[in-house]
Amino acid sequence: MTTSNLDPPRSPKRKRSSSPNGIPQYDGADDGAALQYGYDEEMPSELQSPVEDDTPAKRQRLERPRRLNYVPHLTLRGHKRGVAAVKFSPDGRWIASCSADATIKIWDATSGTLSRTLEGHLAGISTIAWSPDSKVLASGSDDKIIRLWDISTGKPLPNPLIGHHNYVYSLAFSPKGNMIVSGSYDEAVFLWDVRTARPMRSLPAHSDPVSGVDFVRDGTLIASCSSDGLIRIWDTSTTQCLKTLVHEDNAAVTSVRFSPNGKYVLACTLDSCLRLWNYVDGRCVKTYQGHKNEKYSINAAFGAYTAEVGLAEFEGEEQERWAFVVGGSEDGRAVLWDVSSKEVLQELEAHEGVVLGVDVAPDTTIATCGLDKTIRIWKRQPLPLETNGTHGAEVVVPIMAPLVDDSTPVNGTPVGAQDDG
Amino acid sequence: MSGQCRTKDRLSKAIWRQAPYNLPPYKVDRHSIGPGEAQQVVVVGFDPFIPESTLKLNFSTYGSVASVQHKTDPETGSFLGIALIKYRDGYRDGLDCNAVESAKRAEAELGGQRIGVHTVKVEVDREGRRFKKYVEQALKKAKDERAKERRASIAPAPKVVAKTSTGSPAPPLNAPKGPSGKSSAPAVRPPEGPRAVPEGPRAVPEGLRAVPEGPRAVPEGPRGAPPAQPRAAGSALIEEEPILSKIKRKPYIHIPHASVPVLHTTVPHLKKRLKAYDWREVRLDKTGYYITFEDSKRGEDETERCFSECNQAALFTYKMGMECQKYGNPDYERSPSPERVMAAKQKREVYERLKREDEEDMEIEKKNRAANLDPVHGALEKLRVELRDRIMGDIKTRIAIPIFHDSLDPAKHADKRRKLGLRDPSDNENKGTALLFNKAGDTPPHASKSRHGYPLSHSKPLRPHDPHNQRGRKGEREVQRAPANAFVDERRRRPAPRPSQHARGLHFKLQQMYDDEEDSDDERRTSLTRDTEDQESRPLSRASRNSTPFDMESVTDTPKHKRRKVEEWDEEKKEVFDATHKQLLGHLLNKDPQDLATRELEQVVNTLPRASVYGERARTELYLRQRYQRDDDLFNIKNEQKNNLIADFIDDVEMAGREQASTPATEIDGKAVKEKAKRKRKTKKQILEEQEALKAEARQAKAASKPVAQETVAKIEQKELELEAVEELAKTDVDWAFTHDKPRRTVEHDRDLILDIDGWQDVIKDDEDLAWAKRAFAEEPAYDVSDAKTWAWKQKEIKALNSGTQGPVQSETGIEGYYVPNPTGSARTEGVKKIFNEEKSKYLPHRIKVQRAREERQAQEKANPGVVVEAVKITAADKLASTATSRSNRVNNRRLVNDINLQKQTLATDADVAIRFNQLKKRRKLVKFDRSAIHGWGLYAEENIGQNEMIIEYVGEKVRQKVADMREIRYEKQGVGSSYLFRMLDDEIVDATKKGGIARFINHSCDPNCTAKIIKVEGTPRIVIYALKDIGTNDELTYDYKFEREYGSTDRIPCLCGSANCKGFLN
Repeated sequence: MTTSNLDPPRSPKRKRSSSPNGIPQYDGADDGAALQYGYDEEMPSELQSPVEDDTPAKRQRLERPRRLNYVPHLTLRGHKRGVAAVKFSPDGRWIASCSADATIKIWDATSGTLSRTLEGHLAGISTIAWSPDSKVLASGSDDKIIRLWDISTGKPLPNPLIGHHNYVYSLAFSPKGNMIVSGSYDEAVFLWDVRTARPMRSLPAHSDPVSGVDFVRDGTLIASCSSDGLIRIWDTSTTQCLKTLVHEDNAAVTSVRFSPNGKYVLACTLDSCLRLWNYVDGRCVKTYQGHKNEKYSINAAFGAYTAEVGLAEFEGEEQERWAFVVGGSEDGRAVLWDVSSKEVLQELEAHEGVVLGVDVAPDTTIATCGLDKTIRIWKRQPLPLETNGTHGAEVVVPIMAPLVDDSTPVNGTPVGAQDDG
Repeated sequence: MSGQCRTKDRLSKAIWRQAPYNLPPYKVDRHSIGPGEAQQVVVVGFDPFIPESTLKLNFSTYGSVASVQHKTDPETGSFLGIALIKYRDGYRDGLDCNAVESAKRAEAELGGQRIGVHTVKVEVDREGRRFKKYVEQALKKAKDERAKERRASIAPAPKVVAKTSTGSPAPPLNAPKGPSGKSSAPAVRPPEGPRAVPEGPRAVPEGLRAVPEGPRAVPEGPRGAPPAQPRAAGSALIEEEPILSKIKRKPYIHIPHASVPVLHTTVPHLKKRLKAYDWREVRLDKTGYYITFEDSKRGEDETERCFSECNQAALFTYKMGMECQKYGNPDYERSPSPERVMAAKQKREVYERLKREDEEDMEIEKKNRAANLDPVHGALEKLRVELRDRIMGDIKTRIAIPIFHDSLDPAKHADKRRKLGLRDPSDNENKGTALLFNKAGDTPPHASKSRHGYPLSHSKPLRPHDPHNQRGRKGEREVQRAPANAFVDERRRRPAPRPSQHARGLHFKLQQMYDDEEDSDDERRTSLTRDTEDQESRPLSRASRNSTPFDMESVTDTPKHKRRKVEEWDEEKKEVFDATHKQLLGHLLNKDPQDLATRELEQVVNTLPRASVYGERARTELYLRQRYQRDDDLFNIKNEQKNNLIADFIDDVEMAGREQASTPATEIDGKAVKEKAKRKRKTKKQILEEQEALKAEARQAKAASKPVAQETVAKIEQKELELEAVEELAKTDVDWAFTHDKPRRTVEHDRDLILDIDGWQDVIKDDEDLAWAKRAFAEEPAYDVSDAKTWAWKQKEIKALNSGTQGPVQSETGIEGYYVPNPTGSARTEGVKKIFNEEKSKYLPHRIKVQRAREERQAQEKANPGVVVEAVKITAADKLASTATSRSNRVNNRRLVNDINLQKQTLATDADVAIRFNQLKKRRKLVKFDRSAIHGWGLYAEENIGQNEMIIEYVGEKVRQKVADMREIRYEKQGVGSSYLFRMLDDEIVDATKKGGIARFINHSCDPNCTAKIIKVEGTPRIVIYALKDIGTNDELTYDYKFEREYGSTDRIPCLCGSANCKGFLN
């Protein structure tokens, strides 16, 4: 276990009080921009580690945008039943989507053309995961089998991962690509060796279906969550449970994800909340609300955004980046929140019916999928001129959440939970 | 004079420890042990030449002197002027004269007085230590002086002595001397007699004196003078020439110079350091130290032990980096022994001699050959051998085989068999021999299937290359599946590899030989290659039986009825007829087959499936009749056999299967002609029958495919339209031949076949079939699959991927084990639902295991109720024991409480709290918690616990009922998976959920080994867990929770205790 990842960050509350004007602003690297893509190797190092506060002038040169303007870019149709998950490949070239019609479709991320349809599962597919080299896709199906697909040939690799006793519900590839962790309806978390296609460990994790699993960016920790309301953090090498996160309400957790910097986990719960946990302290740091999630196991994802669209390319220098969280909603929207201020950046009218999966590509393109059998790709555009900088009169994206002082929680929910773990 | 002196380097193991001088000495009384108070005094400062008698005289004024010890220099023999005077208890002047008193008085009165001209110093010296100290100092000084003098080489002996005497430290040089008269003449030695008397009491101090003496030898080293001698010896210790070369096979440890510097002084320390090991020698040279050990196994072990324990250990400030050579010097080469040299030499000699002889032999042989060279001779020899072989072969084939054949003919032994009640062997033989006459090559010589239906490696080109296929899971699975596929695709089955001859029975060999003799055509050969075993799975078509036209000679050799197949006799007794069959055969089914007309029989046989008992009986009957008829034919019209055959042939065509399918033009010409004839001859009635059958088939197909998926039927329909393109027609192995005994289907459809794409492709053999199939699916709506070929291929791919096989299968390719399809397709699109325990029990592996075990037990109990009775008895006995236990517990407890109360009265009040606190803790047993098979965590015994013993107290927050209810709801909401609430009294509940001891981890069992008792300690109730039975180490502790079924609870809690009398549920 790397202790460097476990450095407890400064308390967000203290930071909040340090912004006297009440305007939510960028408050510290570890909460905001540090939530970068952990898998992105080229990321400048100052974004990964907390930056000293002695460069505020440069930092605040560009103010953080209050709104984002993602517009529908593509709509991918082809699945015959609801699309359970959508994932960008780590290299950003492909979009994989899996559906209840037992097929996986690989789409070209730029053109949106269907590249391949992977068939072979006998039942609907709930979850997919890309290998870090973007060459292999793992899929977990209701037929209890995890298949690995060679993207170049569209054929399954010869040895499927067989061992679960019920539907495979969640999957994650280790950052090195040598392990797969899977959660299933049989309440177990399996750790698989990809090469031998054998389960290495079975973690007696939960007492309900394991709805989400994830690896931390260096692969040393595994997070799992379950409908029993628990989020557990495991040590990959010893498979010891290091931490159990429970919220007082104990709502079913449907998805868990490590933040790109590996210091937090983001969990979706069926009380229509997204929670950001500091798993070291066992403390809920942020709660994001404004969407509806009461029944479905909906994904959430982290993304980063810059002040201006496409500015980085022109200026040639790295822009300041902030992190956002995007999650689906059961009313067909996908909601984007700023990580630190928790304000809603945009709501995408994405689908008819439930938005089941969201993913953010390395270039911050968003993909959503839903029960309406379609996949939508969203690209960020500059804000329309007339609304740029002003609040309210926005045509494309209505903003629901009012801008308030950070110390008063949005929608009146307790923030920075008082639960003692 | 007592010139007794001690050697200073005497070794002693005792530790020398200076007594703490700030402590007042103990008073000597009767309890004290040891030498007691001082009885001797040391005197220094007197003139060394004072005779001992003078001294004695001086000191005897204070008591009776036991001995006077005047110390001499051991080197020079001169007196040192230090004396030890020992007193003894005596009787003098009518007074008791105590030795101790005397010594004290001597010290007090004579100290500072003069003896002769010198002032003496008198000190009591209990153990002679002071005396010794003085002596040492004096000796040292003397030695120094002497060394100095030696260097100056002016050393008159008396001077030395004088100097020595002045050099004694105690008296100052200018001190006035004692009375010279007393020192003028040396005293005579006291007689030995009186000295012997006090020897007894003195023995003790003497012995003890040795104790401090030993250790003194050690500090002596650094003091200078004494080490002089060892140093000289020590420098010699460092050997000049390297020791390593001198060590041969002796195990040794080398401590290199680098880790411990080579110093001879280290050797004794090293020796001491390694005294725990049985070393032989410690030597050192410039490279370092060599510690050699005994040259034996023991020595080697000792070496190793020493190395393992002392390597890198500290020696002073150094670290002993050791190098262990337990087999001695690694470079040491033993010179070869003379015996071995001799042996090698001899061996070489023998070898050379043999070689030489061989060469000589060769030469002789060559010469002989040259002499006897005659080609005619050689040719004759060759011919003779050939001729003999030929004759033998002819005898075998022409004479022996016909005889064997005749004698083995089963028809000849019919009477015998009947007598013995044996079955007609034609049944078994048929498989091999029938083929002999099977003109129609019913199997294409190279089909893509191995004989057991495994896909051959080249038969699955569509699958990705799988380098791991041979090992691991996949391979095993394939093997496991193999039996299921034995029925797969008979037409595609490949002929069995030609079996090796020697593995065959004699009978088969004969046939083979026979076959080889003849100029048989190819087809026969191909059919012969069939394996006998593989026929079981493949229903023989009637055509392959015995109606094949054959050569005339062979008829005489092997009568045709010999190769007839009779179906298995052991069929199931009950017969349920299909609706279609009933419709078709109606009245016939009620009759006994024997009463039916031949035509009717044929109808029955054709209609009913082969598995049907009735059909079987009919077939047998038909067969018998036909046989009789044929026998007649054979015997009556022998000459017209050929004609007869043709008649037979035509007859057969009429009877031959209504399900003859068309085959592609792989047939030879003659076949085609026959086929045409057959086609023409199909009667109207037969076509009708066929129609019926196909419809039935279609219906069946629909029924079969319904559960697969709703779309499948439609898919099949769609596929049919495109089927021909996809289908590989060449694979059919329909037997194109005729039967003459009874009608048989040309193609036996496997009714168990799963009608997926492979299944349909297998069933539909020609255009005709396809037309019927199309008609059957006419009303089904077509399903839109964009490209039928691709679609069909994909479906096959998926099937192959999931079942590991290709081609038609008999088991549904599906999801193994528990599977409940989600209505929306997948788990994630379905949403989160509460899963009831009941449902979970169906798929959670542990629960399944426990449940299965329970079901097995229950089944067993049902099978023999005696076990149940037994179990009941056992439980009853257990209960009895447990009541007895509780009673005895109570008794024990009361006793304990009384005991404590009693103690409390006697002790102060502050101890009382501690006792109350501890009284339960005291008796608890060692336990630990760990993951449990029953539920979550469990508690395990870490020691053996006897029956009735208290194990642990159930500790937790004591709350009221109301609070407990609230908490329970909260815990449930929070998803605390386990219940840790324990009702103690009516309104007292112990909640161990958040605060509590590990007793809460004890799980429920229907067959518990513990019981929870509520006992009163100090007036407060406590929950205590007692052992119901003897519990072994690492056994899980369990007790019966005795949950009540709550009203309105929908979900029962399943019990996973797995015990013999498990009730299955907690509530």
